[in-house]
Amino acid sequence: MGSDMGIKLNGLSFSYGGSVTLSGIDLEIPRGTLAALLGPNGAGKSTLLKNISGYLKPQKGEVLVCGKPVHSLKDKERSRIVTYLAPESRSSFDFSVEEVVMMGRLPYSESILSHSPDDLQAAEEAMRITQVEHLRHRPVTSLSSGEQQRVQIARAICQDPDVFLLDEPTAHLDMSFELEIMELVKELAEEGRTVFAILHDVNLALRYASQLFFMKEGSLAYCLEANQVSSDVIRDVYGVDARILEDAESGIKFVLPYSISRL
Amino acid sequence: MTEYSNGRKVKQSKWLFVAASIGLSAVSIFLGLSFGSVSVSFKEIISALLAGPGLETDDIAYTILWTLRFPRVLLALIEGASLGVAGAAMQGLFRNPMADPYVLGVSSGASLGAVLGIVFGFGKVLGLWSLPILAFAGAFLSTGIVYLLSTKNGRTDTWTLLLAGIAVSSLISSIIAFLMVLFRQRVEEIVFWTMGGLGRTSWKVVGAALPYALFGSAVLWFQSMALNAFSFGEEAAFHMGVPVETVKRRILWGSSIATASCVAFTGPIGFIGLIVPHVVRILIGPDHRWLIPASALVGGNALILADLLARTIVPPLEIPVGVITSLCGAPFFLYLLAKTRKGGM
Repeated sequence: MGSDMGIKLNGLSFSYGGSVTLSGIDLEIPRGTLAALLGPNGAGKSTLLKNISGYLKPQKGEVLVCGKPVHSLKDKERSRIVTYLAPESRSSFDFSVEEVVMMGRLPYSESILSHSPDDLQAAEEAMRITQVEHLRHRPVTSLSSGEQQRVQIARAICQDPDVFLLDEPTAHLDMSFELEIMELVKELAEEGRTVFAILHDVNLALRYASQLFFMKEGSLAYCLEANQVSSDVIRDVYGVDARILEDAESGIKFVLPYSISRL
Repeated sequence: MTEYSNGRKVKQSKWLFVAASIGLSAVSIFLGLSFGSVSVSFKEIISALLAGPGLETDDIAYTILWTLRFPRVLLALIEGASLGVAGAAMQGLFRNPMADPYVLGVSSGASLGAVLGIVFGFGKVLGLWSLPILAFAGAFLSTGIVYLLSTKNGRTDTWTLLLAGIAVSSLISSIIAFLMVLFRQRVEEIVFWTMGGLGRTSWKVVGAALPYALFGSAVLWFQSMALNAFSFGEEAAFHMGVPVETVKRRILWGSSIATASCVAFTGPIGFIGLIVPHVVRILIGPDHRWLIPASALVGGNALILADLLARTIVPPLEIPVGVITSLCGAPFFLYLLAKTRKGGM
């Protein structure tokens, strides 16, 4: 039962010292799902992901990743199961793209000197599907933000976890790479991995995610499928009056916010 | 720096760099052995080397080489290497090319230990070894204080570590200054100790420093992969499976062990641990698996040559080697800063 679930949270509460940041969160995401985490700034989205990744430790509740309690796993084992990718991750030294992608193999490395053929193959594959092969010898510090983001995603793919926690994976990406990354993420889910991604763009979530979680002030307010998202939900979560429209030709739904709600 | 087009070439150039550094080290060692108050020829060095140590002889060259210069050059090599390695690790840990092995208070702690020994005359108790032992203890005490100040619930905060290191170092400096005022008759001794010099070297010193230096450096080198991941920050390293707290502790103590063992005998020698890793990073890139051993070689070289200058530049006087490293190091560092300002690190 438990292992059918990519992510399962039972009554998770977390606070950074004084004020409560997350309270009583229950959540289930089956394996092979692309789920989106949405909500206004400061709702606790990143904090929630870092609780799931094991980086932050909840005061109350249980976090199971692929059926395993993430906070009692050893570092290497944990990072073979789940990884978290920050929205902006910059290196302080100019490692080459290839070296950065290869860092994804850290949880598998036996020797500090060389990489196994498996490691090299995983890195090649990750660079190929994120289309950063041609940048492989460039220092990461010389890349554009969008390129850096793709390199980070390549590194995460190279790490080969069952669960990806992505904090705004499309930040800094232009339209075409945005769609490409979302397609890529969807493919990861179709391969049987679980992807839980914070998205600021509700439209991307509507189009790609099969589960949409909306957070508000540290709690989970809604868990919906794309066709259940209504203008009432948008108003409640973001405080914005919006219409949900559908493009006649493609059938793609999108949210058109037209004014700040005067509730 | 523009060779991005061919990965194999990049790797080859790293091997080439290490090979060249080893070659240069051999040259530096010969120069260090050859020059000094008495010059020894290449031939004499070779024949002394072939003859081996411990020979009963009147040959001045042989005696100078085996009792004075060999241990001195070796200690310079060991200490320069330790400083290079620890500097590379510290810069990696703090993600900052301005960090050096002394940020955790190793040098100030060692100085305070030695100064206490000097002013209170503990020298009689353990003879020649009393100052190094006190300095070694002082280095560990101050690192320990810095560590405790920045660790809470088993988590060491890197920024607190840096700030606590600075605060403890300046507190100790003021205590030393205070002691210098109180014990004016000892000022010269204190100043000479704190300026750093390799003049008190013997085989026993080399034997005492080497195991610590090797052990500490090995501990640091084994953190290479983790240090690479640290360049994206501790949080990112955690998510790559690095046991972040364990690695920080190992780097902290590995670096202290490697440097304190040498600094305890020679006094603090500045700038090697700051500049060497910086230069090596520019030349062969930031991968710590290469950066650490290459910094060891370049650091060892640099200190042998600096000590050679210290001994020979104004004969018969010997200038504290710390003065030479700062005198050459500071302007070179400024030059590097100006040069790399546009291109980043």
